[in-house]
Amino acid sequence: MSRTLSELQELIFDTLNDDVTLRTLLGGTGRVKYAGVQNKAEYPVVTYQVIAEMDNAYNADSPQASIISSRVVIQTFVNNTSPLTAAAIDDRIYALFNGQALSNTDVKVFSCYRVKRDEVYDYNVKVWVITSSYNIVNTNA
Amino acid sequence: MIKISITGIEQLQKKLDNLVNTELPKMLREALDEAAIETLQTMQLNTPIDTGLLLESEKIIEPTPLSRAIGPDKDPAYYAWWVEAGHHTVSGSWVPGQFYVQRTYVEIEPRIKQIFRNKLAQTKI
Repeated sequence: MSRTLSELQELIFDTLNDDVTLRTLLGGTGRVKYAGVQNKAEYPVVTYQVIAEMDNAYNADSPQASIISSRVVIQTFVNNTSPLTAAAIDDRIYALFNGQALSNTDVKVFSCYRVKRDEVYDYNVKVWVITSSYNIVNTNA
Repeated sequence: MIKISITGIEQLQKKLDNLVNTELPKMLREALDEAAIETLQTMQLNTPIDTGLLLESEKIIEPTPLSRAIGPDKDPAYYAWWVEAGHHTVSGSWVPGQFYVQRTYVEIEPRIKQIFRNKLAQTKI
């Protein structure tokens, strides 16, 4: 694995944070956070984390052996009784990631697709939580 | 007139019957069991431990001829989903998910394919 984890995290953050449409849906800046630093005072908010990384199967045929399959979880939190805003935010994230050949100066994405989506309404705090998981096959740029 | 005679059809039929009715179901059952055990072991390594109840509740559930399901028993580990995907505490703060089930899947998937390849290669025709 020649690129670092933080370089992939930077690509994910920039993709979410730099999108004007998503920023509008979230109601401003500062609404995209790494999963570990979110707190209750910030809704709506989108969090991201890389939960697993594996060497890609094609590395057996590659002298560089630098292709990585990364599993990324992006969660949307909206404190609204209606699910529509959370769904709109998650739909925008889907448009930004699914099938997109993302890249920056350090990371190049070969394929990116959503593998899982769960939608839960937490009655205690009245917050919609949508959890989308993406498989991102990537390497160093 | 050309006359073509084929011999051994009955033996071939017997071998194919044996393959379909005996060898393939046996291979499938063995591969599923082996994959299920390795998946459970990997999940146990990934499971976060607080009281240990979640870890102890994990088992192979709902076995069918064509599938195995591996995961925590919701009774007593009713909170398994909250550990996986995250949850709000009583005070309203958010505890991020551990995603240990999803991590297990990512890690074990190549191994499951390998198990089925190996079993298929060992199957007698």
